[in-house]
Amino acid sequence: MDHSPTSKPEPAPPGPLDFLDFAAAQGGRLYRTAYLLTGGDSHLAEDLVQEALSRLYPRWKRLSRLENPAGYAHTVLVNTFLSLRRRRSSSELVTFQFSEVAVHDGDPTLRLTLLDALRDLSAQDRAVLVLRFWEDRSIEETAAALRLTSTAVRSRSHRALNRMRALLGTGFAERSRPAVEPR
Amino acid sequence: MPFEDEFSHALREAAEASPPTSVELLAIGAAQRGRRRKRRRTVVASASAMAAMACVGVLTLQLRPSADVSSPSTVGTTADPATPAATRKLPPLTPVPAPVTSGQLLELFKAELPADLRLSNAMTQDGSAGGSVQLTAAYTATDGHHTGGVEINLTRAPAHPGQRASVGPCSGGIPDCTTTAEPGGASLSLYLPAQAAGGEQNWTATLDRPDGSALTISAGNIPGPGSGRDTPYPNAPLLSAAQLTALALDPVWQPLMANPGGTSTAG
Repeated sequence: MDHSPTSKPEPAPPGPLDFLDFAAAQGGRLYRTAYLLTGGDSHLAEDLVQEALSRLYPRWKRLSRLENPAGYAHTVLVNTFLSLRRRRSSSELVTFQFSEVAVHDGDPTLRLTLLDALRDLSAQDRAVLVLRFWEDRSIEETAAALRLTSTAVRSRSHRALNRMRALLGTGFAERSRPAVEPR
Repeated sequence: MPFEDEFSHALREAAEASPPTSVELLAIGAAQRGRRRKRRRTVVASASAMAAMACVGVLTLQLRPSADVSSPSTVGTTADPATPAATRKLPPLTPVPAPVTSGQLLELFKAELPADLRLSNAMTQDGSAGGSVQLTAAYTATDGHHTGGVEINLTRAPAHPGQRASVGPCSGGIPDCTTTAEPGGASLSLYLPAQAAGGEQNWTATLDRPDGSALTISAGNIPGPGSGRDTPYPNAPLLSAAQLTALALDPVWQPLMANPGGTSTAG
């Protein structure tokens, strides 16, 4: 008689390995959000991502069962950014120093102009724009992530966009691209 | 192109142009930092739990009624038994004197007796029954010519509402016994009987207080324990009526009468 188990083995509970997988899979996207939030400060962006992910770590067993842990991680990232901005200084030290990498930038002028303009905004206005126009979140989703009312998000978004328009001007993307010489 | 679309497009270009150095290092760093955070939270939680337990302990000790509150010193005070302990009004925090022992009574008695008496054969006795407490201390005294016994007796009975604290030694019209009223509702009874047929003579001064306590100073010619004698001394008591009265009214006994009780230290 065959006594071998016929039922499928239970899936292993999520552990540190799963966390590392998640962090590695989402790290790039989180970093880019952080990069825009910090106005182009790559070191601060890496620190911010590590800090946000480390806040998930102690509760990872529970969080990994969420429907959309990545969305939750992005919300934590934005709130970490805002709280760090409020505290002005973080006592955390960067765990790993990353070497500088060459950026393959098609249009450095556009990038620098945009990042300069972003740095000119308040942290919360910047967060609203990044969530709305980089992460494509709706007004309601943005409001929920930032713990603001929808009206406040609309108002902030409108005001921040006007500020961007004033700083960059309409058609700034076209203007900043080098003109193609006709053959 | 509307400005919103233009802005969104520019954000994407700027973000895509700046990739992270290494997502693996980023993940490892985050896990390391997370482990540190978890450890810190565990330590803080443990410390908080210990601090909370310490606070509960201190509060419990502070709120626990003192053992002295139920000691004989508070006999006569009334507390509503229907009142819960938590809401009962606590007595003011005044220092409660420790119960007096017969040994302490003996020492104090020795100090109060006339200096010309030589004292020997000290004796103490403690007794308690039915809520009443009795302390006795005695000496064999001699003035160089005559010998006798001197004794102090301190009793305290639980007060009963509507009943006199003590009947008094002169009640019933005993001859040679006089009672005088003292301030505060106390009474002093002086009993100076003549020598008995066998030669015994014992004089007493008794102070009865309305709280149920009584103090008796006695002097007689009856030999005490350890004297090696079984017949009365042939002389009158060594303390006069005035000395007995002065001793009984001495305020030095008042704190002892308020809190008698304890173990015998007979020597």
